[in-house]
Amino acid sequence: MSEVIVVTSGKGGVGKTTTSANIGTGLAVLGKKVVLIDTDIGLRNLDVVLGLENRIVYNLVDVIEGNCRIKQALIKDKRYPGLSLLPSAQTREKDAVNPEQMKKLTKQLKEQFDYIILDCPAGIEQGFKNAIAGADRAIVVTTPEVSAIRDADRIIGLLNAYEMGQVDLVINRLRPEMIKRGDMMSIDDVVDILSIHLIGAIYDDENIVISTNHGEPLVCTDTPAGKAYMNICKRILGEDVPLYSPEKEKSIWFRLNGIFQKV
Amino acid sequence: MRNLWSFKKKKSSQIAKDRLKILLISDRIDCSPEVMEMIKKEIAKVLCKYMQIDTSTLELEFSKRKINVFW
Repeated sequence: MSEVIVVTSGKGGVGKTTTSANIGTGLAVLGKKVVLIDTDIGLRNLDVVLGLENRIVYNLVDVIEGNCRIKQALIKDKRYPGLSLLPSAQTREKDAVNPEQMKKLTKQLKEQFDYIILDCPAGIEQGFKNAIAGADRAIVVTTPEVSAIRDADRIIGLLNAYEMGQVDLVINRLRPEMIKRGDMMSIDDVVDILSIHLIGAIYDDENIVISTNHGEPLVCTDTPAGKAYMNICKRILGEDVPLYSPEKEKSIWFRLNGIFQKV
Repeated sequence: MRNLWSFKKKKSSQIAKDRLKILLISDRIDCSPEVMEMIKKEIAKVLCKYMQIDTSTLELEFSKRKINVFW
């Protein structure tokens, strides 16, 4: 059975596009047929994060307006069989698309794909309403900051009002050393405040910037963020995976080191 | 002296949590913290009129369609 997942946050710059790209890629690596849709009309970004910006011919608005068939607009990622991107239009306005049209599109895509991942624009206006229209479940991305959490709470309220089936939380850019000092809210603090189900926590990782520079998602790499994203993908598929924590890994390493030193 | 200062100072994550708790309640019911304080005072006044309660420990818990009163 296929599922439509919208990745949203309210506040901009918390990592929606990065999260969409990595979840989409991760699910494709795990053998699913995935289509990523960039719904941020006028400010498209998902194509560059995925490194597919040079292959765009048609876009979301072209499909909606019937200028092309869906198949013509889908860009197949050659690196990951099973992964396709439906890019957004760069020179159009948000109102070029309406929620009914999005519902119809996602319904059509459900016939071909296991997962349809929608990268939602920031804000709660037309673009948000379009993105959530056809979604079965939502992933809300936040960072452990007051402004991002406030917006996430507002978004969660709206998603409930629109009767979104399932709403899960991703906490991005956690910094363990700051949490230890008491200068950053912890995973538990954020979950406690927002009181929704946590599906993943991602520690701040320089590799994210590097991967975006290259235009290659890091979900299959041996990096803290890469592992955390892969865990989210497995949880989406229903696997019970414990939370990844770089701290724990470190402490195990130190313990092993300690043993060797004794010997 | 510096130690004493840092002992007294609240951690910034705690400040963030405290601020968010009040902020989210007022966001959820669409009314400012000042108005909430006024509601609390007036409810205390009304309750005192008819019941013998200690208003210093009066607490209101706001959620979207419900207000719980504790004393």
